Amino acid sequence: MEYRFSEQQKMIRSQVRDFLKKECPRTLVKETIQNKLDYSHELYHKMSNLGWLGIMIPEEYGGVGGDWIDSAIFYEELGRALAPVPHYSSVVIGGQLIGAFGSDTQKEELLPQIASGKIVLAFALAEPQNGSELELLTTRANANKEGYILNGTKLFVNYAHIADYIITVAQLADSNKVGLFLVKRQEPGLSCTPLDTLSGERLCEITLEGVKVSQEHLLPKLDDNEKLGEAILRTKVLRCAEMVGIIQTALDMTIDYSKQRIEYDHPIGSFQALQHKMVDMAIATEGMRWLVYYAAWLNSQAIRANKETMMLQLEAWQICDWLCTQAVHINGAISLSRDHDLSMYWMRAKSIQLNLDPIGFVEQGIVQEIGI
Amino acid sequence: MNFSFTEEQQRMRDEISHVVTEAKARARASGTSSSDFTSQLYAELGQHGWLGMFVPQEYGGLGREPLDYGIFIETLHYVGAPEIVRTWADINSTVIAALVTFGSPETKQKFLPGMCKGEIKSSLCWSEPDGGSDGHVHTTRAIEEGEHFVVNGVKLWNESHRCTHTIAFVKTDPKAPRGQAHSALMIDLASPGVSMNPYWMIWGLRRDETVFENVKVPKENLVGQKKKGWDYWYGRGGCQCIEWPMLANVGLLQRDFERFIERIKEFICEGKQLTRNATTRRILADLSLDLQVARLLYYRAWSSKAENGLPDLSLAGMSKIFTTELWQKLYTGMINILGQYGQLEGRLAGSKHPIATLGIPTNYKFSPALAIGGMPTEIERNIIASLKLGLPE
Repeated sequence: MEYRFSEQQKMIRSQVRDFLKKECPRTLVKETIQNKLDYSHELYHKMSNLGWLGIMIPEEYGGVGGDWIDSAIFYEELGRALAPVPHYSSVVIGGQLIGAFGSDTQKEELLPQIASGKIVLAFALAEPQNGSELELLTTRANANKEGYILNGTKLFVNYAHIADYIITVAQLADSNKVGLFLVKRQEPGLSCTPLDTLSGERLCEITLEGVKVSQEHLLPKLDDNEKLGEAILRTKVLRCAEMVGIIQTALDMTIDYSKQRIEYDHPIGSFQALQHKMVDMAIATEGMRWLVYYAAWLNSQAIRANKETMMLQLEAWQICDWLCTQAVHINGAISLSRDHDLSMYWMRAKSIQLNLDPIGFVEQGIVQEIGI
Repeated sequence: MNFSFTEEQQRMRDEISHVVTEAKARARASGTSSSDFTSQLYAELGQHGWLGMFVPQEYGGLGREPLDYGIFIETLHYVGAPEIVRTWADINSTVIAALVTFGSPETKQKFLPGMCKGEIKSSLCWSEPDGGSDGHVHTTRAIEEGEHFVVNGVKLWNESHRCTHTIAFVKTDPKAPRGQAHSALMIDLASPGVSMNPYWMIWGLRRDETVFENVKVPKENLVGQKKKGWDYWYGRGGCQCIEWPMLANVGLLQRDFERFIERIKEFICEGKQLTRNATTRRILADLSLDLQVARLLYYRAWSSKAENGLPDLSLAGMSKIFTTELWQKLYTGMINILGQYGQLEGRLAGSKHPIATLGIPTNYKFSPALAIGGMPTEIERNIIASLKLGLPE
């Protein structure tokens, strides 16, 4: 038993941190959000040169391997810098789903391109009325001679409007299972409407009207809805790792500010009322951090981590708003102005939280997992 | 990074479970009185060496890591050792930490082997009627006379009546500046002049007011250096590095929660299963998450190592705050879910309503205690604010 980071893990963290400090200043983040740029291509390209788009992609497919713990460290740092890149959508979800359910040909063709940043993938799951419940999805795939015809509507798809492929989940018409389809964004019948969101990040609504997908673009190894559910659930640990990096930074900014800001002749950080708030924020952050690494470790050991990943998400639901608004409270009115960095951190954390599994879903999931 | 127990650690957990279960069964079969049974069990823990887990071998210990002690104490609580045995073991660890870290070779030799065997059971004489956490104001005096200290004063909230010794925080140098007036002293509770008055606590156990009237204590019982009492208790490397994570022990909470879940699965209330109630489910999800966090913070603290070889005080403090406050949330949550059944306790109620044998009302009553003991959580927050967050005084 060893609840701490190894020297090598610390090294990974400092490499990523140093890189992002240099290549991803907050001005870049702000520029990307305010100019409604989708992501920083330059930053993504530099990350690909360092091999970071190949994490958890096997070396034989152009990746750099690495495990869930290394990736969680990487994601914590991405969160710290608010790095505006489509890494999660393309490398994590795309890479994991193709790795788990793709054919050898699909892996050989797509994984190296994901790892080099040549292509970007999006993932379309949720639907109006049905959320992300696999059993309820109404987007359908009807087989014909050449392959499949897809019809339906998808919501909240990150980076769909700039993706090369949108991995789309659809009900297979002749069974009670879902299939995963690699849909080209340019395919006739597919339309994509970006929706503005509170963080400035754009999520898309997609409609599929008679979209043709060839047989080669079905991921053939998916034969069980539950496996897909677990694969998606596993990736949430990295989203939560990103949130840990974000809230840690919000806390660090708050601590720094409270040491400098003078009121009533004293730095406000010397007031006990504020100290206790900041200590509680630190405890919450530390707690969530270890929930992240515990779930990541279970993933690395190939141990089922459904309960732990849902607990982690429930923690995100429980602490994110409180922690960020306390940070704002201590930083004062200035932190609510558009130019202040803190609000960017708050909104990014909030947008990650809202895109996790719904709070009611994870609560019920945990209760079932503990045997009720 | 590794979140699983090693084979050796797992073997120890199994052994502890075996020892406690066997001892309870033997006590039931032979009708051994509860005080005989608890003493026997405690001695048995000593025979296995667990009480002296991180004590160097030359003083009768196993010379292992504090983390192993954390595993021992968590397991002891999880497998349902009686409260008296748990409390001895808990307090034992704090006193041992003080002796191991600060004691002279002579003091170590005098007390540690007996503590490791479970023969010496020590209480903590810390709080006083007019001074709790602020040790500066403690008035119990220890005046040097020849080869002895002569001790006079009153200490509260200890378990001295069940112990052979106590470690007391005493004023040796009243004129010394703040922080240097006190020292730590091991006192044999059988010494003439020691008396105890009980406080019966609402959860059914006794705490003592221990009174010292001209008690002669040999000078060799001084723990570490004179005037250093404050550093030993409050200092960054003081024995709170062990006391706090020990108090953050999640074992009993985990045990009670698991047993609660088992019992309420079939519990019918207002015509349907209690577990189908949405509010009940929400509370259970929330509590199981917090238990997981508490467990992670607990082992995170024990896995850390400060310069003195003990756990990092800030991490220990985070764990202590979170878990001792969880006590209140957990037992309040469980007792509220049970509603009217939540008030039932004792053998009579248990014979008709098995839910009443879980001891939830008892631990509900106890639940605020640990957030007060070993320093109130507000003071722990002050310490973390300064130590870990670097906030100004």
